Parts: sequence; structure tokens; C-alpha cells
Amino acid sequence: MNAFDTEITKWLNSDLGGFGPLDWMMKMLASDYLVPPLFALAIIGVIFIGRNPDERFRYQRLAFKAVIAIAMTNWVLAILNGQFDRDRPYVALPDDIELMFYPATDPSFPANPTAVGFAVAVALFPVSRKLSIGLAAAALVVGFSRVYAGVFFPTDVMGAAVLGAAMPWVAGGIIRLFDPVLNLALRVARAFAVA
Amino acid sequence: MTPQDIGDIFLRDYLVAMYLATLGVVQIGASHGGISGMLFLRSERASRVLGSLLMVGALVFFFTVPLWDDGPWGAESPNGVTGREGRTVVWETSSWDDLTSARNINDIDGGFSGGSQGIWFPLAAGLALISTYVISSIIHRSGPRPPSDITSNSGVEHLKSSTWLKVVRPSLGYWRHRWRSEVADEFALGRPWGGVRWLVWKLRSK
Repeated sequence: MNAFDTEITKWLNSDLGGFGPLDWMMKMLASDYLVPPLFALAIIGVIFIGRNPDERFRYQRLAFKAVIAIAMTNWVLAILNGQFDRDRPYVALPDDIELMFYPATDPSFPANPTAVGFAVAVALFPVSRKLSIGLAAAALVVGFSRVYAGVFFPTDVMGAAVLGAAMPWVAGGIIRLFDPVLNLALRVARAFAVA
Repeated sequence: MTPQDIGDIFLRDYLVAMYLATLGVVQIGASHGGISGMLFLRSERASRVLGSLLMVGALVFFFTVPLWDDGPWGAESPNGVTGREGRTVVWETSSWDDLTSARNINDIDGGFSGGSQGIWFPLAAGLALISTYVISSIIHRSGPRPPSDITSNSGVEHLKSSTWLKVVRPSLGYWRHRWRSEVADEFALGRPWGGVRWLVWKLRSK
């Protein structure tokens, strides 16, 4: 733990925290069920957004890439959680941090929802710059709200953003490896008129 | 009440919310793609509004259920159950003040882990996609039929001028005649897995 993490977390949680409406909003934004499902919904929307068969085919491959990027991110997160057993802020600084979330039991580093959000945002960047920026902003907001709530340090969020942003590159390599299989799956889906 | 009971409540509400949200996002996506045969309304703009309302409504539903449905989100009490934010609470409806924390329940106490969402979200989304194809086909049932001889495997592109229920049979018929060449295209020599095709051909020729 470093001074940067400690001071920023204490400032957000103790100095800003305690203001009723802000706490109320941050608890909502920190939820597992508000922002993370939006990442999955964005992927589904992208499947149909193309204006012609070629564009749609390209976007559907990017949707696949986003799904693989999520899977890769979760896999790397599981490995990192085993390697870096970093205490959560409410555990490391019990006298300074008021927990505004459930007491999570897994390690603090890295911030899982932020990593997944960045993986989707970067994977879908070729579809729409606006969509991608919106998703990245949402991933940062959920990370920020959890620092505010006392369950992440700022560097957990920053590390997760870097990790998530790198995963679409790995997913791209996997897609290239299984290119004909993926294309064939899309052709079959087209035969059923569902893609 | 056990974590299993809490998990059952979460599952019910989550499936409903994600089903409705997916219906909404498909309406938005299909309207941008001009796939009118998948829309519930004739106007693309109206479909986007409907899709947005469904998405927002689904999330509002999920987060406001604790206001009228008893669950692990009541007032704190030493004799209650482990619920919102890991606190010991009474099994009752939530107050407005506690509403945004009501759904913040650890997976070991009955909330959903990321893995659980990874299982249940695709289920809800799949059901919503099937519903979209069926409902839109019923709504546009009086629309034109697709051409009897479909000449390309274009998938939902055909739904720009027809409905899924009218398109699926001719589209599968086209695929039945063409699937060998489509598979051969993907595994052609010079493509990433071209060697696999060559190997199969060599083994069969022995």
C-alpha cells in the first residue's frame, strides 16, 4: 500500500463520504447489477447494429472478440487474485474507512468490473468510438464508486483498466487462430436467420 | 431464510430484468441496422425509444423490487438474516434510504457472483432473442413473403423485407444445398486452417 492509495481512498471515503445523496448514488453505481450488465448488453446490441451484411459480419466478429476478451480477463483476474493477496481498504485501514458495500472476500487487486468494462470498451472500439468511450467511462465510474465505498484502492482500478485494455489484443490472436470455426459458426447462425 | 432463498429471489428478478433489457437493446440495435422485420414498432425512431424504455424500465424494476417485496433488505436487527451490505437485517421491504444498498449482497450470502451472471445472463438474453424473432414475426405477419428462391446466406439481412418465421425455412433450404461449399470456403488452402482440409483429403484418398 502506498501513500497515493491511502490518501486518495481516505479523502474519497471519509472527507466526501457521509453526504447522504452522494452515498446513495455511489452505492447504486457500485452495484454488481447496474454497470456490469450494460457491458454485456452493449455486445448484444452490436450484433445487429451493422447496416449491411458485410458490416454486420465484421461487428459480429468484434462481439465475439469482446466475449473472448471477457473470458480472458476473468482468467487473468483469477490468476492475479491468487498472486497478489492485497487487503481491501476497509481491512487495511479499519479506523479510517467506512465500508459502504458488502465485505468482499477476494483480494482487492485488480478491480474486476473495471477490467471487464475496459476489455469490452477496447474490443468494440472499431464499431463506434462514442460507444467505446461511454463503456470505458462507465468502467471508470464503477471503479471510482467502489473506491468511494471503501472496497478498492485507486491503483486497483488503474491496474484493472490497463489489464482490461490489453485483453482484446490477446482475444484478437485467439480469433485469428480459430478464424474458420468462428466464421462457420456465423454462417450457420445466418442460415437460421438469427445473425 | 437461507442464502439459497435469497439466491432464488435474486434469480427471479435478475432473469426478468435482463430479459426485458435485452429485448430493449435488440430493438435499439436492429433499428440502427435497419432490420425492420425485428422491430415491434414500424418507426425506427419509435423502436429506439421503446428499446430505451425497456432497458431503463428493466433496471428500475430490478432495483425497486425491494420496496414492495420482502427480502434481506429490511432494517438492521440482531435477530435477522445476513443481507444487504453484509448486515444482519429483518426480512422485510426496504426503505427508500436503504434502496440503493438493498441489492449489494455478497455471493456467499445469496447474491450473484460474476460466474453466476455469466450463466444466467446468456439464458435471459437467449430467451429475449427468441421472443424478439417470434413476437416481431407475429406483429408483421401481414407483411410480404420472402422471395421463394433465396440466393444468399445473408441471415438477418432478409428480415429487412420479411419476418423471421417466413424467412427461416427458405434460408435453411438454401443452406442445405450450399453448406458443403460454405465449409470448403472457410477451410480452403491459403486460409488459416487450409492444412486441415489438405490433411483430411490425404487421409480419405489413402
